[in-house]
Amino acid sequence: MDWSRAKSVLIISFLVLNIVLGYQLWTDLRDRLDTGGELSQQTLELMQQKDILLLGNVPDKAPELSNLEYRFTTTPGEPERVELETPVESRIIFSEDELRDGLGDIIPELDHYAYDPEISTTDVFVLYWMADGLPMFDVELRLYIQDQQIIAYSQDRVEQVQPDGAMPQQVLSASEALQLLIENTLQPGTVIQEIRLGYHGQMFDSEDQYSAPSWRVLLQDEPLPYYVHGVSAEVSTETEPTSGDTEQDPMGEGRQ
Amino acid sequence: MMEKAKTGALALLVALSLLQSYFLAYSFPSLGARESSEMSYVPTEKMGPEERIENLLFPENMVLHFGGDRHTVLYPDTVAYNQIWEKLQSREFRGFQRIGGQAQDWEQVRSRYGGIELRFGYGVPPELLRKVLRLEEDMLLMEERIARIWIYRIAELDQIRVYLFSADGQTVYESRRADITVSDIHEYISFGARQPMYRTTDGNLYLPEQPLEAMEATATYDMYTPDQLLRNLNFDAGATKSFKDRSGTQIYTDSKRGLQVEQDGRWVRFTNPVAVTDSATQPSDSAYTAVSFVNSHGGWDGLHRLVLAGSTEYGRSVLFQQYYLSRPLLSAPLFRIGAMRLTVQQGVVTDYERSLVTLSGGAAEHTVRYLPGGDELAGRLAQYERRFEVEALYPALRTSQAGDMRVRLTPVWAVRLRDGTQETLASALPAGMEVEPAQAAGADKLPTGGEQDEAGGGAQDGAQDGASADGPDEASGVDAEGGETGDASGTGGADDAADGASGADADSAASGGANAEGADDSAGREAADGADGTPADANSGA
Repeated sequence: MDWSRAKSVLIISFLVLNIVLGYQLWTDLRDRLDTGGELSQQTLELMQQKDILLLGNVPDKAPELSNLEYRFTTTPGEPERVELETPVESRIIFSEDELRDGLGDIIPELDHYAYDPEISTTDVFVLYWMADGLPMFDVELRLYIQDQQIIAYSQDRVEQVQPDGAMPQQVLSASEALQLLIENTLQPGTVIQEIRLGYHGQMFDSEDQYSAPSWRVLLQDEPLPYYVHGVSAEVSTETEPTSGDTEQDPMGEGRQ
Repeated sequence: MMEKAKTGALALLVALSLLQSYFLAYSFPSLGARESSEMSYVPTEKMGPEERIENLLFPENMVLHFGGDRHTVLYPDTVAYNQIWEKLQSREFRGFQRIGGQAQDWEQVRSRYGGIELRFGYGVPPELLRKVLRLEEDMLLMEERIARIWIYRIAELDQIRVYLFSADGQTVYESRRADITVSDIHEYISFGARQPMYRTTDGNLYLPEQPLEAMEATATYDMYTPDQLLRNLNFDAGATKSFKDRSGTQIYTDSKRGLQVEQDGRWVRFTNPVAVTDSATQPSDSAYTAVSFVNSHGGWDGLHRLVLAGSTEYGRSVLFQQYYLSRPLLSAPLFRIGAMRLTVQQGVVTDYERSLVTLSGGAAEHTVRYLPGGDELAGRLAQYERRFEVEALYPALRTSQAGDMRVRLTPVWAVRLRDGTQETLASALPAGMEVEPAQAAGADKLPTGGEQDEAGGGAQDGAQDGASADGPDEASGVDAEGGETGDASGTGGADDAADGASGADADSAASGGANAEGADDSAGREAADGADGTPADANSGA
């Protein structure tokens, strides 16, 4: 028996096998990286077909998160507007320290909020309550601007913000969320401004609220953002607080 | 040396292939296979019975015109209504042609010619109407909402005309080739000949001349529990939170969807916001979606009528009006029941309100009550502060709690306003009150009285039946000749008799049964008095 020859044959066949396996692994890995930070080829093609444009970056993080329970101490959806006694320069919004120095004594719990430049306009700056580094899209602090001065604010305040106790779940990646939206929801010609992970839930006319990790997708020329549920991938838009009172509905109940 | 290197390389390659195989198999789980550990799909529990859209589509009411400005109104789920509806469903409507809304003097048609109007309230898209009536498919009608179908006979020509009215009243379509015959119309009219007479001033609101008999009921009810509905809607128990809102409503939510439970669990509202895109929803699609949603989530309790409401919400908002004892239920704020309301967006139900109460199984007690009619009702209507917003007037049953698990349903006159709200216009007359008998709208009163075609004869047969009074249910007013019990529901027959015989108009006919009412003996005696003159008339005529 020619051992030397047999070994050569085996070496060559294992080499081939390794190349095949290696290729397989590499494509898997590439797919995985793709869905993290970049859109898949398929989505890009669809975007081209539907003439959809994406301006912002696609975040590559898709952490494991739980739903949040929390409690409003103000009326959800209709916070009171408070006028500032002395207006403050609006540019302090760009520096956390300056913001704290300028308004920290006036607006309670200012530290909990973070500025969101994407949804803010020149007239209204929007800050969101942050929970573990993620914004809660239903809890806003609005700063009203006039002549580059902050003249008033309105604030949703919450307490007892905590995870709901269930097992944290892996959320969808941003590219998966975008893919869903592009395939099913968005109209041709839409411009996607930004996609951002945070918490959002259906709002009720109650103190207690419950929200889930969601991707907020901002569109240009569309005031209301879309929300993609982080786990179930259901798409919704912002709604007014749902109240039990339906009397103003058409076909409402009879009155005496 | 060479051999050693070869052995080493081989060993390395074998190890590497094993390692790669391992990674492929375990270390890189395929994406998308997300763990849904707590999601468990329990087969949904069946709640109420299912329903088909065909059974939910029917006219809000039918107006029968007898000619001579005499009319009657038939309400759903009554004998005459059902007979006519059944017959009409086998008729074909074809050859549509658009005509202007003012092409005819409708007022004149209404008062002069015998005919029938099917009235669909807010209107129904032809696609849906085709489920119950044999309308020819026609591009012309596509985008319309049919609010009324008016079939009448031009006496002078002895011809039938069929018109379809759009919801805004601006467009009218004539069906040139409908297979409805003159005798059909006679037959339909004869079905309603013994109904109370109604008056109208505008062709929209019809008021009975006399107080209208109505049933008061006290019924026991059953209830589904909110938990049943939660399970049915696939709320995942592990990820559902519940809390109370400011008004005491219990809220269940999984952050995306919500279920609000009010009124001790009798009323629920399910909300499931979705992304709104601009694409328009077809009203008929919304209706199908709504029906199948209710089929799988909660089911139906008795008769319901599909209403595609309002102008702004049209196409999205679907309402199912519940009927009980042939009357729509008008829910009171403190006891909400009677209508399911759904909002459909892009084929998804985003809002679903309903009662968890079911009436159909419960035992009920009934009492006869009377709803005011004639001038009294007209007065109430004239005084009503939102008179000019009134779109419809109809008898309804108002709900109120009557003890533990019992509901009282009281007859009332209800009005529907332009914005869709339903309000109570007038309550029933006090219980036990004596009431003038309802006047029958009369036997066949087509102006061409000389003609004796088959159906017309049939109607007259009916009138003669009334005169001969062969049963307490029929024409008991005339029966007072021999007996003394009077029965309000039967007095119509007496009028028929008088009418058919003398051919007189409503006023003189009224004398026939004028006092023939009364569940009690004294009224029965009156009935005898009143009826005295009539049999003679009837005989002479017959």
